[in-house]
Amino acid sequence: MKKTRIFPKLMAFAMGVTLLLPVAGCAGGGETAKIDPDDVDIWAASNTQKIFQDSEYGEEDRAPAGISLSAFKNESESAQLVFTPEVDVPSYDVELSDLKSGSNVLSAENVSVYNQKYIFVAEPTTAGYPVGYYPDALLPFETAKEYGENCITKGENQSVWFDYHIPATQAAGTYTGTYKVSFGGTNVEVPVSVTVYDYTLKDEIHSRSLFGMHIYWNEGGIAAGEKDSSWEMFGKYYDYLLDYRICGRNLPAAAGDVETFIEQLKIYGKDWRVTNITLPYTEKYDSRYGETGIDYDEFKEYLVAIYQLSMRENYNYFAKISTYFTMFDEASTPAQISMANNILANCYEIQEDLADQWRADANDAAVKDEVISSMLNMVQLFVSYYQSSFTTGGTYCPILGQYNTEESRNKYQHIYEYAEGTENYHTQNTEKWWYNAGATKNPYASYNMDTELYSPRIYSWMQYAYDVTGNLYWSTTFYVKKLYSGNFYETLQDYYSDPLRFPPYNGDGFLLYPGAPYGIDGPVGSIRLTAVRDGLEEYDLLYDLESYYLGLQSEEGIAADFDGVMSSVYNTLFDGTKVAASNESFANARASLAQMLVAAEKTGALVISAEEKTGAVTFEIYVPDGVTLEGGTLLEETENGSIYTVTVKLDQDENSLACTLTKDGKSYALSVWLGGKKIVHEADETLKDAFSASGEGSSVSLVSDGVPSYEGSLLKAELAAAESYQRLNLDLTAVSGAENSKLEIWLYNPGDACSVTVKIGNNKNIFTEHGTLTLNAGWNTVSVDLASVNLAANESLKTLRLEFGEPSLSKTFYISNITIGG
Amino acid sequence: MTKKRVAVLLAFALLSFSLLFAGCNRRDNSVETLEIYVANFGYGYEWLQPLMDDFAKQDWVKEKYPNLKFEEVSKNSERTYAVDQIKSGKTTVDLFISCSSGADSFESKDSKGNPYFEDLTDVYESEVPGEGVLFKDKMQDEFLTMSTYETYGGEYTYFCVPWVTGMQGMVYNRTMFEEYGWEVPNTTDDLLVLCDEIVADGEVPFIFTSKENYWTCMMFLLWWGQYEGADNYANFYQGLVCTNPDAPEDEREYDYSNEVFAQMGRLRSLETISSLIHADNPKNYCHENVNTLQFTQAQSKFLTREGAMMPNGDWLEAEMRKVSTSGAITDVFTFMKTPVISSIIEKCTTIPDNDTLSKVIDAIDAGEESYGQVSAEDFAKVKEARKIVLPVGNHTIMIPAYATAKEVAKDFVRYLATDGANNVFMEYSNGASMPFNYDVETEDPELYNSLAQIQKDRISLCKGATYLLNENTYKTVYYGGIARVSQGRTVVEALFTAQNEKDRMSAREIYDAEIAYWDDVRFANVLTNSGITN
Repeated sequence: MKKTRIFPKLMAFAMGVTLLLPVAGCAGGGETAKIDPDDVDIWAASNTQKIFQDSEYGEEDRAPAGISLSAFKNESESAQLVFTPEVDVPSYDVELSDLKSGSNVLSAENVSVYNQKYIFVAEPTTAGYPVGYYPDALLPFETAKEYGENCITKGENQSVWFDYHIPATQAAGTYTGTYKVSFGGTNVEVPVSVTVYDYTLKDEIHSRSLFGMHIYWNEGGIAAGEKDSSWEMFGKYYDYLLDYRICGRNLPAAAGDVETFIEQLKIYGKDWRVTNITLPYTEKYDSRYGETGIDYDEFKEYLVAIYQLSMRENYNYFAKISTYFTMFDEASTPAQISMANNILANCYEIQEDLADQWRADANDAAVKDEVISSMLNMVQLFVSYYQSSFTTGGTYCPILGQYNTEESRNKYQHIYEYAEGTENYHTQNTEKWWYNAGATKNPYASYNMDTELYSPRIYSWMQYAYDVTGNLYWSTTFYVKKLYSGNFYETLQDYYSDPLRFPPYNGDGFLLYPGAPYGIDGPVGSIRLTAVRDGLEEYDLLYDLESYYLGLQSEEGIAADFDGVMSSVYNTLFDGTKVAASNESFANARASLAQMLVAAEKTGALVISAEEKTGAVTFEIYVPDGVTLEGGTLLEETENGSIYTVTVKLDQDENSLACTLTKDGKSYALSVWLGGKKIVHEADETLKDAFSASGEGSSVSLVSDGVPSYEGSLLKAELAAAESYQRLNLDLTAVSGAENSKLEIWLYNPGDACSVTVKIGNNKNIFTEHGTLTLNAGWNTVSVDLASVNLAANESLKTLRLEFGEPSLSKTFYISNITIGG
Repeated sequence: MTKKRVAVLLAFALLSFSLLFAGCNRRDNSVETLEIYVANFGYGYEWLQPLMDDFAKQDWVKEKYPNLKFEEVSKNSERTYAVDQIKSGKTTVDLFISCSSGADSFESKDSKGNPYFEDLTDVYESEVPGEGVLFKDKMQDEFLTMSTYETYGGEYTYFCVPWVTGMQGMVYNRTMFEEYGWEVPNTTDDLLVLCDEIVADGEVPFIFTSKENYWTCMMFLLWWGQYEGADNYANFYQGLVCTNPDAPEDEREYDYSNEVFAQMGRLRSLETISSLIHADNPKNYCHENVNTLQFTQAQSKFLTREGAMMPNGDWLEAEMRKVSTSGAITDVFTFMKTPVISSIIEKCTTIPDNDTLSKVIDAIDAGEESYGQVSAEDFAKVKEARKIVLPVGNHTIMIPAYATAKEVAKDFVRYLATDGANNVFMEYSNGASMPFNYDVETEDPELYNSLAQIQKDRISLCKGATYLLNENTYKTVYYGGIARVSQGRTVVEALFTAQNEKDRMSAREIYDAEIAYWDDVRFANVLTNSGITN
C-alpha cells in the first residue's frame, strides 16, 4: 500500500496558514450589498498626520474629501484619503486619472497608491500617545486587493496613501482632476489638486546617510523575514532604500570579499543616489593591546583595491567611503574607548603609509591626488558622545539629543588634525555626523512609531540647520524581537505585528517590512520611511536655497544671512533638536521654503536678514533691478538692485512675511512663516517685580538707558560677584500666559561673553536644566519652551532661573522685554 | 498487526485518554476561589496557611463569599517569578506575595492595551474590616510612602502592598559578647577597637560571604544614610542636589544633578566598610573563608560562633529556628544599634572627636535631649543617625488586573491590615511584622514575650526610628535607572575581599568609578527615562 505522508502535508498546510496570517484582517474580497455613500465618510488628512485606525475623529478633524498637495518638480510628495464607514465595507477600490493644468497633463503613472496597514501599539513610548492601531506599513494597493485587505470594518478608519513623483520636466501649475473611489456598488468622485512649484529638485544629494540593514540578526533580519538570505535579496533592499535617498550601511558584499565589494563599488560608486559607502571589516583579536581590533591586512587590502580601481577608471571611488567599527559603538566604557583609540590610530597609520606609497608609484591618473586625499580624509565614525579620553580622534557621531543645546553642540566642533605640516595632512570631524535610535524619542525628532509624522521630516531640517552632513540610523530591518531583559531575542511570527521589537521604543530598528508574506520580491515600505525621504529632499532644497545666498554674497558682495532668516522659520518647527511644530506650521514652513526658492530662481530676490525685536520681525529683502516688490519700504540702492525692509508684527494668531514680486509681468509670492501670536511684556514695574537677582549687592531696577541705540525702558540686572552662583530668577506665576508657551527673554550683554544655564523650577523648588548657552556681547535671546516641561500631578511652574557662569565676576545685563508664545 | 503498530496505537490511545481527561484536574479558577503564590525566601511561608484559615473564618468573609475556596498555594524561590507571571497575562494566580519590586512594570499593558497589574487605590482608600480606619491610615507612614507609586506621567497611585517591615543591619552574638565582656560599640571607630579586642580574644569579628551583597545593601546604606541624613539619602535616589542646604527647610532648592553620586556619605561609608573587611588591611577581621562560603554556610558558621558579627536581616530568626529545633543553638543573636559612623563629626562643628561623639550617643540612648557643649544642631544630626534603621524592601503583594478572584484577593489584602491578621502573621513568622500599626507589646503581651530577642530588639529599635526608604520608592530608580552602585561594583564586599589583588578595589576607587560612570549623558537619560525631562 502506498504510504501517505500526512505529516509533511500538515506542515505545509500550517505554514500556508502562517504565511497568510499577516494578511488576515476584515473579511475581504468581493462586493456584496450596495452601500449607501452616506454610510462611508471619505475625508482628508495632511500627509504629516497619522490617522489611527481605532480613534474617533470629529468633524473638526476631518478635512473635506479630496487630495491637495504641492510639490517641486522631481520631488516625491504624498497625500492621504481616509475612509470611515458606518457599515462594514467588504472591498473598496481607487481609480486614478490624469490631472490637467490647461494643456499640461500630470500622468496618473506618476502616482503610486498604497493601503496603509496598522500595527498595534500597546505600550506607547511617550506619555500622551494612545494605545491603539498606528498606521505604518504601506502595502501596494494592488497587492492589498489581491490579498483581500481592501476592506474596512465599520467604525474603523482606513487610509489610502498616494505617493506622487513629479517628473523633472513637468510644467509648473496647478493640476486638477478627480479620482474615483468605489465601494459596495457606489462610486464617489474625489477632487484632486496638485500644485507643482516652478522649481526643480536636483538629482544631487548633499547629505550622507548610513542606515543599518542586516541579513541576520539573531533569529531575525532580512533572511528571516524574506526567507531568503541571498545577497541578491540584500541588494533589493539596498536599491529600495536608495530610492528613498538613503544609503544602506553595506554594499551587497560579504565582509572580507574584497572582489565582490569592488564589483559593487563599480556599480554604486558612481550612482548619484549613493553618498556613503561603509568599508567592510573583520574583527580580530589584537594581542598588542589584549582587546578586539580589526584585521588590518584586510583593511589595507580594501584600500588598495579601491585605489587600483580608481586608477584604472580615473575616478575617485574613495569620495564616498567611510568606516564604522561597531565594536566601539556607543562607546562609554574605558575598554571601548581604548579600542577606538587603538583601532583608529592603527588605521590612520596604515592610511598614511599607503598615501606615501601611492604618491611614489607609477600611476598617473589625473584623479590620483584627489584619491589620496579622499582616502586620508575618509570619515571614520566614532559613534558616541564626547569623551575626553577619546584621544586619537575621529568623526564624532553623537546621538541627536547631543545637539539639543548650544553648549553641547559646541563639544562636537573640534577638528582633529593629523600629520600636520606633511603631505599626508588629514583631518577628522570636519564633516559632522549624528545618529538616531529609539532613545531619541518624542519630543526629540525621531523615527519611532509613536511620534508625529512631521518629526522624521523636521529631523532633516534640523540636520541642515546644524550643519550636520551625515545621519546614521542603526537598523531598518529589525525583523526580530528583543526581550526587555538581557540579550535575548525572540522570533517574530508575524512581521507586520509587534512594534515593540527593541523595547521600550515602538518602531525602533525597522522602517521596512518583508515583502515575502505578500509575494513581493523585496521590502515593503512605511509612512515613516516616506517621511524620512521627504525630509531628505527638503534638506537638499535648503541646500539649494542657501546656494543663492552664498551666490549673492560672492557675486554682489551683499551680506545675506541665510541662517538668520531661516531661524525665523526653524523656530516654528523645532527648538534645539526637539520638535515644536504642528501639521499647520510644517505646511507653512514648507510653503515658505518653496516661495523663497521660486523667488530666488525666477527673480533673484532674497530675504537677506530677519531680526526679531519686541514682538515684531524686521526683514530686509534684496530685489534685483527689473523686479518690483510690493509691500516693502526701500532701504537702500545697491549696484544691481535694491534692499527693502518690511516689519511684521507678531500680534496675530498666524503671522508671516507676505510680499509679491513681479518680473516681466509675472507675479511671485514671497512669504516667510513666523508662527503664532507673541505676547510682549515690556520692561516696566510689573516685569521688574517679577525678576529677582540672587546674592548680596545684586539687584534688578527699571532704567531708561544703558543700551546703545535703544529707546525705551529696560530692566537692569546687576549681579554682584559671588562665591558659588549668580542667578536671575523670573517668577513665572507673575507672567501671564507663561504656561504651555515658548518664553523668550531679550537680553543685552554690554560685557564679555559668558555662559548662562537655563533652569525651570516647580512649586517644590526642584529645578531642571534646560540648556546652557553663550551670551555674546550685544543682544541675545534666551528662550525656553515651557510647554516641554514635565510636571507631576501636584506640580506647577514657578521659576525660570538664569544661572551665570564665572560667578566671581560681577555682571550687568539689560532686559528689554520678554515675549511669550509664537 | 505488527507489534510496532500495536505499540503506536496504544500510545495514541493513551495520549487521547490523557487529553480527554486532562480537564478533570484543572485548577478551579472561579471568582470565589483564591489562588495565592508566595515567594519562599528568608521569611518562609509557614504563616500563610494560618492567615488563609483565619481569613476564611471572618464573619464578613463568610457572608460575602459563601463558596470561598483556596487553591493550592504555589511557591518557589525565584525572585522575578511574580512579575514575570503577571506579565505573561496567563497566570491563574490571583494574589502574589513576592520578594520583588515590579515597579518598572506596573504601568505595562498587554497587546490589547489592558494593564497587567491591578491598581490598588480602592484598597488603600477602603476601610480595614471592622476597625473603622482606612487601610492607608493603618499602614505605617514610611511604608505608605514607599508604596505610593509615581507613574511615568507624574500621577500618584498604588500597585502593591508591602507585607513585611523587617530590619537589616549588624547582627551580633550577644552571648559571646557577654561571655567575653565585649561592649556593643557606639561608633564605627569604637567598632574598630572592638574588632581588635575580639581578635585578641582569639575570635573572629566578622563572618559573611563575599558572594552575597549584605554589606552593600545593608551597612553601606546605613552608614551612608547616617552621614548624609535620611532626607539627603533619599535625594540621592531622586537625583536631587540641594543647592542651599543651610536655608530653612521650606526655602530649600534642588537641582537634578549627577553630583548626587559625589555625596560624601557614600565615600565615608565605603571607607568604613573597607576599614573593617578590606583584604589589604594589616589587621584581618574576617573569617578566612569569606570568599568561598555560600550564604547558608556563612550563616550556619555565624550561628556556631565562627564569627561574632554578621550583616543580616531579621529573617535570621526564622533560619535559626530551623536549626535550633534540634537544640544546637542556644546563643542569643540580635541586632546591635548600628554604630554611628565616626566621620559624621566632619559635619559637626561642636563634636571634636570620636570620644565626644560616643558620649553624645550615650546621652541619646539615655533619652536625653542635649549633651554638654554640643550644639542643638549637631545633637540632632547625631540623634537622627542613631535612629536610622533600614527596613526590608521589595517584599510586595501584587494582584494581576485580570485575576478571576480579584475581589477576594483585595479583601484578603484588606484583612491583612487587621490586628488579628497582624497577630497571626507575627506568631507564625517567628516574630516578623507586617507594615501596619499594631503594637504587639500591648495587644498581645504573651506573644510578645515569646518572641526571640532579635525580634524584640527589632521592634524596640523601630519605635521612633527614622527609616531609610527603599530605592524603588522613586521613579528615577525604577524608570531612570539610578542605582546605589553599578557596573560590576554591585557587590562591594567582593571587591574588598577578592583573593586576587588585581580584582580588588579601594573605597575611593569605587566611589570615583561611580562618579565617572554617571556622566552627564547617562544622567540626562535618567531624567528623560523617568519622564522628568523630555
